[in-house]
Amino acid sequence: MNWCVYDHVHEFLVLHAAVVEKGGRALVMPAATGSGKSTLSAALVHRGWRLLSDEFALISKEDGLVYPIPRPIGLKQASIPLIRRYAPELRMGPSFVDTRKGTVAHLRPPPDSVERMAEPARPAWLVFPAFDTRVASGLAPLSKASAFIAASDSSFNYGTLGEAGFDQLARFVDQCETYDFPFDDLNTAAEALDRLADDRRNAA
Amino acid sequence: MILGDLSVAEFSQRLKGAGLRLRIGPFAVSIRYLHRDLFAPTLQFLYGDFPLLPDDTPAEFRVRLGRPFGVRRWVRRQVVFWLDDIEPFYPFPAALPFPCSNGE
Repeated sequence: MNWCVYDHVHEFLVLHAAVVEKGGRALVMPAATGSGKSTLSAALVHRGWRLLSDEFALISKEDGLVYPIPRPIGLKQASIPLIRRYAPELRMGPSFVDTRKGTVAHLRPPPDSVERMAEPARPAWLVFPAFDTRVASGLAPLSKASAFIAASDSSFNYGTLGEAGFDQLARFVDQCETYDFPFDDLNTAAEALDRLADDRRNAA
Repeated sequence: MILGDLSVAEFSQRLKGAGLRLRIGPFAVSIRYLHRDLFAPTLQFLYGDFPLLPDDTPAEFRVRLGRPFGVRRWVRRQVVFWLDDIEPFYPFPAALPFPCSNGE
């Protein structure tokens, strides 16, 4: 399958990131393959977050909000049985063997996510997850400058947007609390992100 | 009307004809079938709740299922240059019928 992308996409700054929402606020998790961001977003959806996307953060040029594109969540290898156990209510399609990635399967987006896919969310948290058993896990505050650089690395079209892209990304990063997030256990990680949302609510 | 409302026969018919159009987030996506329809039921299952759009809706994304023929694979790869240096989507084997990137 191939996607052909036209100029319309330039209405958005696009990051390679999973996005979920709670209370109108978006948690954006840019990450590369193997970081566990899809698995993490599936776990958060199970815990009541709304799925915006497991792959693309669409940040509007016009209003700076993050727009949903709630396609199926792609899971690989060990994540497939893990999520089946962790979130049995999420509906999973058949597993396929792909030569590049091993076994893959997809979660059907929850009906609520699809129904509300015209409803954007305000950027609130920018978290860089990395599944890693060798380091202490937990949310580690990240400077805005480092977050900006990491976010620009994960952007698909930051470069082509030029100065406007720079300004937009800077505004986006400014709006967010920024963290590095090494984790080694799915449930503990999901709980930590839940607390992030709860803390914010208590503070407000 | 949502994709899940179509019968399997209607779904296959529309895939093979002018294409099927779905609203996915801010985009209209057209999906056409060029190959065997082994995976149509999976596609319909995974995207079952998404709204169908009229056939004449201009699509921001055009998705072709199945293996591209001849030079088309390379033509398509050129089309994805908007993503800076990142090639967003593998030229998937025909076995994988839905939009995926080379991320997770």
